[in-house]
Amino acid sequence: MPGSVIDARIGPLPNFSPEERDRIVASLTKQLGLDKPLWYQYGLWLRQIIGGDFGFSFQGLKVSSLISARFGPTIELGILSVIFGVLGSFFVSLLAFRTRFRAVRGGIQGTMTVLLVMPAFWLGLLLVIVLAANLNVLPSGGFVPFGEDKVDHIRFLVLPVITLALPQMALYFRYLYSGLRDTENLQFVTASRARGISERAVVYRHILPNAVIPTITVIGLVVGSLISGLVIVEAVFSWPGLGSLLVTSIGAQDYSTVSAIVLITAILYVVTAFVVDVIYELVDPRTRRRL
Amino acid sequence: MSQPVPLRAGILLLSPFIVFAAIPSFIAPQNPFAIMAVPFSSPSMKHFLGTDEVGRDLFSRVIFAARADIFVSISAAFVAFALGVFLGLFSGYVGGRVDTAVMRVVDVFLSFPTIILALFLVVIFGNAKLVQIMAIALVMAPSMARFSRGTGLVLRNRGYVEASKISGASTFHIIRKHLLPNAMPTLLVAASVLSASAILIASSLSYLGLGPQPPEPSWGNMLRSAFSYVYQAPWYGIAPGFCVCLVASSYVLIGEGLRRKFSDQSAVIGSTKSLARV
Repeated sequence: MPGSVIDARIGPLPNFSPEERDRIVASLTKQLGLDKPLWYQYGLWLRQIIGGDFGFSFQGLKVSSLISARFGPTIELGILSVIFGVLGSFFVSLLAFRTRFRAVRGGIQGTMTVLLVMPAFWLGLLLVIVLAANLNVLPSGGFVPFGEDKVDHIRFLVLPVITLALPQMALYFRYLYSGLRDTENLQFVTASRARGISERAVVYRHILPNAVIPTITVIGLVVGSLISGLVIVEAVFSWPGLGSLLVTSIGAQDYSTVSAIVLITAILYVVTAFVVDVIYELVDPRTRRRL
Repeated sequence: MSQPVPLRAGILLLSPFIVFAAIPSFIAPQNPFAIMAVPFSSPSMKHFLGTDEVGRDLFSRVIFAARADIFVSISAAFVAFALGVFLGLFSGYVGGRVDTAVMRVVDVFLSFPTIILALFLVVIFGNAKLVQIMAIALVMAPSMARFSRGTGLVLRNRGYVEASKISGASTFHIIRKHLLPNAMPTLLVAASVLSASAILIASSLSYLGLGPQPPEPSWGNMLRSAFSYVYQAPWYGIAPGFCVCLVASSYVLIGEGLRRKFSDQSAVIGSTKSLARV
């Protein structure tokens, strides 16, 4: 699969003699700066990146414009999946926590464990089998811009979002549920119950706010590594985002695009880690004391 | 003494796959590379899972695929374990600047999303089995290093470590003879969680076409073709995905079982939840 950048760009060139091909390779090497030492190439790359110039892809398109076109769909998919994952986990955790029936609790826990080890592409495939191939209610993959057709846009959005949101929901459930269970045994909860506060108020006003804190950390970590899931899910549903761009660029050995995407994801990861730290302080005043 | 239920269940779930991986040709009813029937024939007595897009027996291919997937995931987890545990215990025990330096390098690796980093490594170095194993191991070693560093920090203040240090033992002797044996229970729990991520990453890579190359079967590349033929043969991808799930959950179960088994013997068992990073 990998090989020299130049081989990937010009191919075998059957109409040229080996000498001519060598000459083309040499001139391209010079043109692309590949004859310079590695540290020089790296310095050059770094200087261009700081100026917002990611170079050109192999099709001769600007990498920065290629990426900005793919950015929207990825962000849309990512943010929606986090929102639905969080909402779902709150619903499921509270249901498992408040229910009187042991079977409901066990069923939810079991389902969540299964969802956690399910690879995204298999979950996606099962959803496609049921909803697209059998029931024929949703498309199995593709994309329609929001401006073109709002309803179709949403129809194409549903399956990828579900595929991304379900494993997240399972992960958040683990933390939220154990947070709820741990908080329940603390003294202030017993005190609130002893004061005769309604069970509903105890759960939503006293237990939940304290149980949410560890989950926030996890949400932060997941948001940072969400791009891994996006790579798979976008490939599965042919969603035109950064993830599928990465996969096609890898296939085409388009190094400037690949390194730009990898760099962007690493930056996103660091930024979200920072944002989560800030949110943490807002939610839990106890962490504010030392800086 | 009876073993914890999750441990037994996990081993029970995993063992058939180990057998598949070890002796696939004795178990598979057909040759996985031979064209046996019409493409996409539905499941029948002769072909339990039907046939694939060129008419090869799917059941046999699923069994043969265990070889690549199990081998890659276990070796990757093993390499990640060795590398991560050594780095982690070393930097946790030595502390100071060494610790800071190692942990910053670990942070750099952790700031890349797992699959992206693995993809990147496979693209640069080619998709030989060895490269796949090393790529997955390199992706997972940092979390293992961070985890074992915590264990190292706890253990370095134990009396027997100090006693050994005073009597003049070298750092490596202490790590090997005192830290490693005492940290092992905790680390094994972490390692089984890591193996679960390893199989998921390995199958994701082969789903993206960077794993074993056709005609060699792997669960990931079978799922990839299953997707293209979902309207012709909806049952195609069910079994391969189910196998990935079963193997991953058996590792998770083994981890949980080991945690229960060791938790009354050792006080250092911490939470391994933070390791589940897929």
